Amino acid sequence: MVQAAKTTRKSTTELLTGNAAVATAAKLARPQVIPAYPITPQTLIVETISGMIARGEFDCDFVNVESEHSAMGAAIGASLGGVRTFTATSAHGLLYMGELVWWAGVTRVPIVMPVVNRSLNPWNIWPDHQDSMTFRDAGWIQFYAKNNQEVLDLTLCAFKIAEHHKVWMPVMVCLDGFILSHTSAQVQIPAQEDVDEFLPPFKPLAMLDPDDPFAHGSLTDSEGIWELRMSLIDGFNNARVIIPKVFQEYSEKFGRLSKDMIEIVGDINNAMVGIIAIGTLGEEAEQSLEVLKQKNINAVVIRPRVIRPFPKKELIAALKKIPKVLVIDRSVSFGNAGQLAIEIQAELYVNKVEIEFHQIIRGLGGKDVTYMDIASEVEKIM
Amino acid sequence: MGNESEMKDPVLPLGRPTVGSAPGPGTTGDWRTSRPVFSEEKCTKCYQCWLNCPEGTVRVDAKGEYPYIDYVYCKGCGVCVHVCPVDALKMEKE
Repeated sequence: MVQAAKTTRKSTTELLTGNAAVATAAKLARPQVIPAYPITPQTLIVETISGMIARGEFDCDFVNVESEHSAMGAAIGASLGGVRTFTATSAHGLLYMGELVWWAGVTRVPIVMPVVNRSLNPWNIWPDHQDSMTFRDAGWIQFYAKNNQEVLDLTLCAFKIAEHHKVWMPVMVCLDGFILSHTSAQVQIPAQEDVDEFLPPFKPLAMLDPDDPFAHGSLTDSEGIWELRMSLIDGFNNARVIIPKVFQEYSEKFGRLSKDMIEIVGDINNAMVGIIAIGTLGEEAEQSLEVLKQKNINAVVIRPRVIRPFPKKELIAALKKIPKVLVIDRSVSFGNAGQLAIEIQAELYVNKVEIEFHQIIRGLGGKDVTYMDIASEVEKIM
Repeated sequence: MGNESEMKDPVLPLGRPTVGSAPGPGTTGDWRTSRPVFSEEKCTKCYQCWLNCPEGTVRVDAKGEYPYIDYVYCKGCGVCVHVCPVDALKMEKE
């Protein structure tokens, strides 16, 4: 998947936590306003960025807000004011800004917001996907990263995708709390000039202007709401096309990522079973392939890195090649099942794919899931 | 679908202030079930009706002129009738 980078400007390699990778990507993207409120395990993003700004390394207005509700409110206002806008949150912070997360989503405000995945109530600071999954229907594009490098790469792509004039919607870049946010790993950091070429300055579609006043999101009748919702559906269909194009451009320029909204690791044409998981569970599943091979089980990992828009076509194309699949969810739609499992089952039915389907829920509240655990779950269904 | 120029542009929820932007088209007087009717004979030009109209639909063009009612926007609440000290206004069913 990795192609040789076209540009030759030197990138640097550093040991970065997931949170530092987010902060580094944010700095490279040159947002002009960042309103943010700290919350474990996202806090280091806010600390790192405010430090960069305070030391004069990063030319950006940091807004010290009193809550996440205010953070998203300020982000919406700043974005409508015509500037590139960034914020980040986690778990309860995301829920607290919930009303405004919907505002930004369904009224099309192109904010980029990493969400450091953390479990919800009762108090627990460890990772699962319940927080961001709660907002999968809120009109935001959602990415899930598997490692710190992908955190940086997806965050940079997120700006370009959010601000594309045929997309024009906010993006959440989700990364597992602690497993990524607080764990250091090698991250290749592109040169600022290269990022500037990839990501030109913010070009607003509509901008608040005292000389040409308009209201954003004022009282809208049923006809108006219908028109906006249909346009949002069209926008996600556009995003299905634009996201792979931006990924492709990024991968040609920087030699990482690929155009695909799903990553396939292993030999899918000879696989006896597929494992579907997102975020770090996907990378953990990759580690289980070797263990399974020793037990004569050829497995393949299918990891969606984009969940909204849901990569239906790509998933079905992959699932048609394998006889059996195990879907691992790290969140639950209570009263039904894991969200990934539900959505994949729907596509399998619509596309009349004959496959043996298995689903499990693992890793809630940060419960550890090792590659050995995943391998033994696969063994059980063989 | 791969061609970006054929993709639909986003619809943004932008509203600009315009005359008559309320449904109907803007003729909110349609909401009325009764209308205040004004009689010049009794009027003393005290302008209590003009002062108290919550919608600004009782108009006075210049000091010394009789007030009149803008029925395009008057919603028929009857406040003017209630405050008139000389019964120069009364409500009539639409």
